[in-house]
Amino acid sequence: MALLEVHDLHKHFDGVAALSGVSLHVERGEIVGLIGPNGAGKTTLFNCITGALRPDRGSVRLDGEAITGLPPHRVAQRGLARTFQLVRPFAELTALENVLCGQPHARERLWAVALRKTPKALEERAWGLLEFLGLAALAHRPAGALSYGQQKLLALATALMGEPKIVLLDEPFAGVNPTMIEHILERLKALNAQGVTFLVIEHNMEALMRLAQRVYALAAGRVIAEGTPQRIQRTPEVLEVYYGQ
Amino acid sequence: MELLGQALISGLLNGLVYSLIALGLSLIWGVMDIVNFAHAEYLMLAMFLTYWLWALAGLDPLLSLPIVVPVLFLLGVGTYHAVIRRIVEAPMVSQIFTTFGLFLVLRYGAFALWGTEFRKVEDPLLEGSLLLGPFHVSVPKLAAALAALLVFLALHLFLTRTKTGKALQATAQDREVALSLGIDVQRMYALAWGLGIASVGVAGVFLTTFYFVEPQVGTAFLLLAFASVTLGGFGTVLGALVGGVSIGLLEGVFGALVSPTFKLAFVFVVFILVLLLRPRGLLGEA
Amino acid sequence: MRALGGIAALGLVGGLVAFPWLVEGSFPRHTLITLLMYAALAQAWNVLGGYAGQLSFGHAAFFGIGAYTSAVLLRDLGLTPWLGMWVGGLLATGVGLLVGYPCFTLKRHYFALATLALGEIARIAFTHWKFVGGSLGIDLPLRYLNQGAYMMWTDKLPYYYVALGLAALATAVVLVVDRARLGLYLKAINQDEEAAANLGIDVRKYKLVAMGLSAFLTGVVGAFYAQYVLYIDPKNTLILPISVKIVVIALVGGRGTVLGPLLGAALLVPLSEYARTYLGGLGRGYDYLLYGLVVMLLAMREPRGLVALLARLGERAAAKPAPQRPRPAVADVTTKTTKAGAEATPRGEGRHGAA
Repeated sequence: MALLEVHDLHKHFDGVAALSGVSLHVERGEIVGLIGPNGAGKTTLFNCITGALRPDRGSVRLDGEAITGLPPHRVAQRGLARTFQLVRPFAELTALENVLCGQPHARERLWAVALRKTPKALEERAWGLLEFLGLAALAHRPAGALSYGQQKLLALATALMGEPKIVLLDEPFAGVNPTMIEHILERLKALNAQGVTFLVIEHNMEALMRLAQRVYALAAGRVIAEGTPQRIQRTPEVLEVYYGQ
Repeated sequence: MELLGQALISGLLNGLVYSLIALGLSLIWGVMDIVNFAHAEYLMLAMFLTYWLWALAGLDPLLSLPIVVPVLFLLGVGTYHAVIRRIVEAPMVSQIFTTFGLFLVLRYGAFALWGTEFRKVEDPLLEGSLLLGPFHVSVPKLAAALAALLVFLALHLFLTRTKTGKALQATAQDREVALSLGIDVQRMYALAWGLGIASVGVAGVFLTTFYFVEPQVGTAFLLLAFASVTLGGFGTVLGALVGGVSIGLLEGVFGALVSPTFKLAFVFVVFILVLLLRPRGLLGEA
Repeated sequence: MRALGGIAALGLVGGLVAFPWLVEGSFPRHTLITLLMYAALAQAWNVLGGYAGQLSFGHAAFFGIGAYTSAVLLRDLGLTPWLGMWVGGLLATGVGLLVGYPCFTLKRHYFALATLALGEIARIAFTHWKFVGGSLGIDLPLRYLNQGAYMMWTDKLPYYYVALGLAALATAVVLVVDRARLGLYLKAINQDEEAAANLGIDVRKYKLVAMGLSAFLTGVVGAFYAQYVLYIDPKNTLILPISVKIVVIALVGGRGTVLGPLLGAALLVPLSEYARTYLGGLGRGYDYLLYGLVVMLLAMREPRGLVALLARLGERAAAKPAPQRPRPAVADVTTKTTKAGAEATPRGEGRHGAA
């Protein structure tokens, strides 16, 4: 059974089809890439999976359970985290507080939330994540004061804080300098080695080639190809969409 | 049955006035995503202006229309340049606070200047009522309703037939696109404020012929306008019209059949129900 | 540093407890009672409007509901306000949740609007409602006068301590919220709801919790007010100026902080009480005209209020031998966090690599 299973997802906006029957699956422990030209429906797909949008038709299953149409906070509580293409940290909260916001919320009790601080163990976990991503020195800086690349790492730390079963990354390398790309790439691989599953939208093919084990190509709201990164780059359909050949 | 018919007629006429007040609110919201909490205070200012023109210069409300409406237009544009321009990019909380502060300044400014006294224009040109079969139709309300329809028609023509109007619509739909088309977005914002406040000025002039003038007159109308705009769907001209008339009819029927004193409370309940059941309004897209 | 803060707090509490013994005359006592009452109200508002960022312009409704509930319970059932005040708080909470529930999934305008409307509706409804005396209001039964068990005294002193207790209670609630995860989640919700929801935070639930706490405390204070003035009508409990004053105090002091509402009340209440007594002209609404200007200016210039201003001054003073780089001024990061904030961030990776 796949960890994430998307089946025949449809979504229309004002009569324009953004997704017309997308099916894909991500196995436990995989890093799966998602490529496609602008307007192919990649972010719409993410939004339908995470509950930001309600699909017109089709289903999304996480770990065997249907999560189709659940509101975003419920989807997140089931163990699906996401980052945004344009990072959006809570700018006035410190980096540490940002990460703490990502702590697991599924089993929180209201009275404990209202009366107590974050449990020690979780706070240590947050510190651990900051350290792992090289942000520990900035823990008490407001997130708005971090650089763009640091904010991307912070978003990753925050997403991981909830101990998700799978993380959806929307263009983790966009707008980031080459050194930082190397750093993020290496951290993602290390996380994957620890068993974290990823579904990644990315335009940077070179980076994706080194990261993903499997790639889906999306165009005009449909999956047009699937395979290893090497193979997908040679698929005629993909070449046609990308290079008009 | 007669009671219901009477309620429907007066509800319709009131509703058109609410639409006219809601129009400006909706226009400003639609074009620049700002909710103007001070909107009905401009109505109050228009009413005072109309009143003083009558009291001091003997000008009948109907004749003061060509003075009040341009003055309100300028007031709208002036408000945009003096205040609103500075908060277009601000967080929503700042925007809400700013127009709420404006609301306080205008209301309590009027309070400080003119006190709490209720004033009324005596013997306006528009007076009395017509007998339409078994129903009484108030002449000043009928005139106000017709004026509202005319303003809607004029605005519709302006938005669809003129270049400036189309530019305004483009700005409302997508600011980025409007910018890329070379539209002066700042000017469009100022225009939205000018037109929005001018249209509430028209309502103010006509209201003066059948309503008391006092600094707190705005509250009920603000609520009614918001209920109208919410019901009709925020940001659309037609939505303001449909919403206003619906609110007027609902209020009229409830007032006649159930309780006249609690009709405003009833409108509020409707407002909450709309938010609960159909937050995009009757005409908003699903 | 911590010990210093503790000593300062202790001194403040000691001073507040001893104050009425040091000052003669009923006017300063009245001013101080009003100050403490508004401090409590502004703290209550702060939970919702400061931390959760949901602006209410109708808190007078909760204040009035609390006042009327406890007054009616005393009038008709002889229930002591010591209990009635909590019932009033609960009723206010119920109304708050009813209004908040439909609004809390929508943009903040709707809630601001709905509360503004709620305040006015409550005023109109109570003005016409015979059971609560209509526009004449309710005279509290004076047969309980000078019975501590019924919170009714001729002397101002006991009221002072009740008001002090309420201000302490409200501040304690804010302090707990601020320290607990709830405060963190509310601040996150305030800044970016969608991002908060994506992390699994149940946005509506926590907004409702903030609403509930806020309305409850406001209702309780309302009940105290009824006992203090012994006469309530729509004009002294339900009018817009009460809501405005609560908002302005919290805003001027600094919303979303523990100290802000206290600071705001300490500054504004004596000012307006003295103006009312010595200048008179309040009937003309000059003070609210001024409040309006203050709200506009603060919203545009320093949305974080006095606390942020003082913090910035403190930082400047402390910045010289600073071991760390000084934090950037808070105002700099309060630009739109959703779209504009992200776009304003420099795209390219800057000087600092990631360690």
